[in-house]
Amino acid sequence: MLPKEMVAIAMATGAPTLRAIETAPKFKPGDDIRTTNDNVSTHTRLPGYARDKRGTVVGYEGAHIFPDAHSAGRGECPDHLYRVRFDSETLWGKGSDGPGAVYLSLWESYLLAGKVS
Amino acid sequence: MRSIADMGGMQGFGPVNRAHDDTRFKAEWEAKTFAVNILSLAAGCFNIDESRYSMERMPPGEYLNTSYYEHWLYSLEDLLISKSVFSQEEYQARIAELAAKEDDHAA
Amino acid sequence: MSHDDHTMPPSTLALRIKAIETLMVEKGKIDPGAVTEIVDIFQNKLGPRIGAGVVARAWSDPAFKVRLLENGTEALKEVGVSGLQGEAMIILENTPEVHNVIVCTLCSCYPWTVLGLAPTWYKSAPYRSRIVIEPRSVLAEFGLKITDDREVRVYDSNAEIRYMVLPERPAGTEGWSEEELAALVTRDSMIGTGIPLAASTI
Repeated sequence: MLPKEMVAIAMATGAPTLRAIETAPKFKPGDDIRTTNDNVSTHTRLPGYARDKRGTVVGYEGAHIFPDAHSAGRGECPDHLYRVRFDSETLWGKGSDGPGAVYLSLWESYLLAGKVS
Repeated sequence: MRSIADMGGMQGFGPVNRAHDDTRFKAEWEAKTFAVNILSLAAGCFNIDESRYSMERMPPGEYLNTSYYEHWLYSLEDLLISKSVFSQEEYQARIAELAAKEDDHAA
Repeated sequence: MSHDDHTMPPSTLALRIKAIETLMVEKGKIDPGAVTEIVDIFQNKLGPRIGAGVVARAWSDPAFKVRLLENGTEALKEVGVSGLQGEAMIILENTPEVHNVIVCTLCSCYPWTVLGLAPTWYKSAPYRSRIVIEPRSVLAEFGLKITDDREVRVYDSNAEIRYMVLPERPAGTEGWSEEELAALVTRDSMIGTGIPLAASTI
């Protein structure tokens, strides 16, 4: 139980999800990826609009608690998290309303290696 | 899951209602729902991922037709009962008790 | 009927949360005094004036701006900003080439530590669904026209990384104090659905 006197400090500390893990990241900025097409019925933070789409890794965020596992009582299971860019034409085709991109933070298990150039 | 909450890219929801610009809690129940949720997380009753998963599993019609904090209230009920923090019976009994008290005051 | 209308009368909602609160207190899970503290922090202490101060400092102090863009979380800690939903902050710089805007399509995650609580429209289905697919159309509804020579970048806050937009500094503000600059920074300019007020406004 969080007592009243500790509320301010707890709110100022927050609940960081960053964790240290043993494995090295599989991807790095500049890598082309394709998101998986695993239409699981359980909790995931890969939105439907970005499934099975080509994108480019633009940043590495460290390893974070993995929501798919954490929401299902399987523990934190932290995994590498990447900032990925998806061109709006890739996502929306003719539905895009101008030059743009959507950026998502995606866990490693959501990503497959793209074409090796 | 491709739940109703997974709405990025959906079309047909119409214009953004800019008049809904308020950030303050509109009623005491909203403020309490917010605070009880945060404190339940702090007490380890459930984690934020379980909380989001719970909200995603609201019946779609209800999800679209209720306010943001009603989603939080739904997930509080869902998780606290399913994790046996209190039972459905205790909960309903308490609601009835509080409602009766309110009626007494009103009478 | 807007989806903010309650399907249940408010008194039932009030009873439900009161029932939960009292049970949780009885079972030693929450401190009733803590409820009041939390509401006070989020209603009265946190808010967009915090973000506006950060923006004004970044405009005034080039070295701080570099640190802010390189590591938002650490730079914000320098100015005493940290905490719940701000544990991993990325600041997005608007430039003549790029306009940034933030959303959480999946639920409504928002950078509480710099902007306080989200406005209702940010949490609404029209915003969450449309800003990723037709950002220019949504921004036009906010009175913001982005020309095609600029790219619109939408950051979907689907993980615990939180974003704040660093808008472009308005023209004609050379030599202004941080306080004067902060007064030009609107909440919407830090979400990306607006731009700061013009110098002539003040």
